[in-house]
Amino acid sequence: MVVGGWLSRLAARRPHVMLAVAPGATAARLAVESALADAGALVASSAADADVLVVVGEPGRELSGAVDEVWRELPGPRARAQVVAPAEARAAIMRAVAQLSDLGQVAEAAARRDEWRDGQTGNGMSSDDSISHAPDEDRGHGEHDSGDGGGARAGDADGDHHAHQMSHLQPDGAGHHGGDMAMPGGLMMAGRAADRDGLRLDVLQVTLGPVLADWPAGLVITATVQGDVVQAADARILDAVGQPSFWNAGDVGRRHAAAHLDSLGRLLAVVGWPAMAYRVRRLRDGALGEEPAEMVRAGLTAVDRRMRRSWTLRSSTDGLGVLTPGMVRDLGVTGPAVSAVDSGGDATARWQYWLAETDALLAGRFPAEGSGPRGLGGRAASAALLAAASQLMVGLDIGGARIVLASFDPDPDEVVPVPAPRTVA
Amino acid sequence: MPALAWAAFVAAAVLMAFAAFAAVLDGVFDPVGRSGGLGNRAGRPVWETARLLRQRRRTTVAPDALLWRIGTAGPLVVALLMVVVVPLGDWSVADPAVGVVWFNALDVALWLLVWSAGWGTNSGYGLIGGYRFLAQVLGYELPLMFALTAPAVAAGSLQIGEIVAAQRGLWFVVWAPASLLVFLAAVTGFSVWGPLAYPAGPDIAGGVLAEPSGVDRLVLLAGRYALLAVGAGMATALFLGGGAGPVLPGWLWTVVKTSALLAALVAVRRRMPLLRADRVMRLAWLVVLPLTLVQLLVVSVVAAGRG
Repeated sequence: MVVGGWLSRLAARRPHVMLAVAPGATAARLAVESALADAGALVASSAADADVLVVVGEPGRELSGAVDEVWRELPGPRARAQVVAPAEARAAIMRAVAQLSDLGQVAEAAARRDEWRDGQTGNGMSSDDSISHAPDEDRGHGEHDSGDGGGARAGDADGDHHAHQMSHLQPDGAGHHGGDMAMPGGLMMAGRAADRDGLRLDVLQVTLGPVLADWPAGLVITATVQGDVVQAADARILDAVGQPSFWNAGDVGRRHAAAHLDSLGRLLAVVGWPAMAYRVRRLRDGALGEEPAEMVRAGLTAVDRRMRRSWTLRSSTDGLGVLTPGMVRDLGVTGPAVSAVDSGGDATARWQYWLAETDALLAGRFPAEGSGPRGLGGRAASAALLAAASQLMVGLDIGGARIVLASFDPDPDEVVPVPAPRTVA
Repeated sequence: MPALAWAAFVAAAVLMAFAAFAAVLDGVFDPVGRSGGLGNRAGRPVWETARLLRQRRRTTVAPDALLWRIGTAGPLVVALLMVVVVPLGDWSVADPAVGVVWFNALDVALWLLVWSAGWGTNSGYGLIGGYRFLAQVLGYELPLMFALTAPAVAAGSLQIGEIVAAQRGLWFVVWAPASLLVFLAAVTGFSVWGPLAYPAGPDIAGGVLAEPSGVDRLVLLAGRYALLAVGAGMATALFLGGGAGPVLPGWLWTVVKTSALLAALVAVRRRMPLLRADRVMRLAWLVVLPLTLVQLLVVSVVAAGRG
């Protein structure tokens, strides 16, 4: 027990925290991120790496299901906290971390068995962990499978579909075979279809989100992939609230600047530059707080220089997700994404435009009337960005697709609830 | 035989000390938690180890347990096998006639091991991570082989002791700097580190690191640091004259040089974002491979001229 207590004290010095953010909780998320940075905590990239699950905001029924699934996947010792009001963030995190050190935790974790452990197969359960934490999806598989010819998915095939334990790598309906054949872990054989190179490759459905690091709140993208190349992407926001964006209130100029910095931080995290993402997010917190604009601008200048000079950064965003004038027209995209079309329209052009506009906003330029940080008319702007991103993901690998999404960075808070899942093929 | 066992034990202890040093440096270089003070960041490997020792090992649905275990332990085992031929001053556990080939063969074993670490979890992200590693290997492996060839050609031997001895007059870094740089880049490649950590990318929730927890994760992460450390040690022997240097004893020179290289390898992680495998491929085949070949040509001509 002496060793246990000693270990637990050491272990609590750097907790790994996973965030599950509900749409409409941007203010609480910012407070949590800032509190975590102050505490020196690490934001975990997967459930296996997390000690603490912080639920930010009030998830609806669907998202709650996904959050519960993630909770089951935390190895333990583990603690869970919910932050609804921004002011609660610090205290809630402290409480959760203190719970981690509880000596009973190790025994509790040891006694808990992964429910999928003992080969309980044949029930369509295949929660192979954190590739994504798919929501319960008892509404309408039929609608969902559009685009690829439809058909039963593995879970339905054996008629014992567990609502919360959706597979993450599911065979797609197209070319589905072996519907009655129980495979190890309840997983089914993948169907096959011709890919872009004329090969016949497995077709899988990969669900990205809704609980994923550096990912828009509540967003779920169901991607049909061959190899790791996205063939079709279907995006929707779980439990969307459709409220006015956090980024459009208060001191609008600074808010917009902070919105761009928030987007940049997410993009940098996705391209795998955590140190720079951290710097940018601290600037964002400064822009939202009391810090003089000149100080934030000075920090931004240094960041701007580093980012533009980084050959590796440009090499990973160049030529990705090129937005064409035709798409701008068809989808009604507005805002920075359109302004970046002239300088190439790719992900690089978009982050460079964010940098330039942030500096201008901090220097005192006032945003155009009626325009949010993501374009005209709030809701429409983010919905258009999401549509553009899901179209441009097609043909890219998962990594490229995530960069494209992050380079548009739709704000899920703004997106209005949609009764049926939307499909972009 | 007991003497050899002791030697192996000492080499392993030295390697793990360097791995711990790398982990400490990584904490120190991290901008996150600057407010917590230096001690808090330098002690990070201790907090992380304690955390992972307390943590439960979890499983996934229908994992390929054998491959997963092999992949988890693999990098650490490979690093321990590599360090056998890395000299500390004049001393090494073994100095076989084919020391360079031994090192290279072990690094090739990582192709299978890192891939299994991803594949064995039966998780989509792990799987993608494993395949990303193979894609990355196609980029860095040939340049690595040609980079290893340069000191061997210059010394006219594949024996690491001979290569170190051949640098008495002039360190190979002076006339094969490109080989050293390419070698170090390849070390980050097989250690899944810095710009070449794409197989463990944050965009795929940690890829090969997405699923392991508890002791499994500890062993995998320790293996990663150990590979970086053994790579720095090998670079010291092949390019920086091993234990050669004035005043200080040979072993201390090895420690100093290895630490400096290791610090550079650790620091690079904070300096730039990840390189995607397709970009690595283009860079490796269009720029780095020709560069290493030209470097090898230069070394060969000089060696022939001397010989």
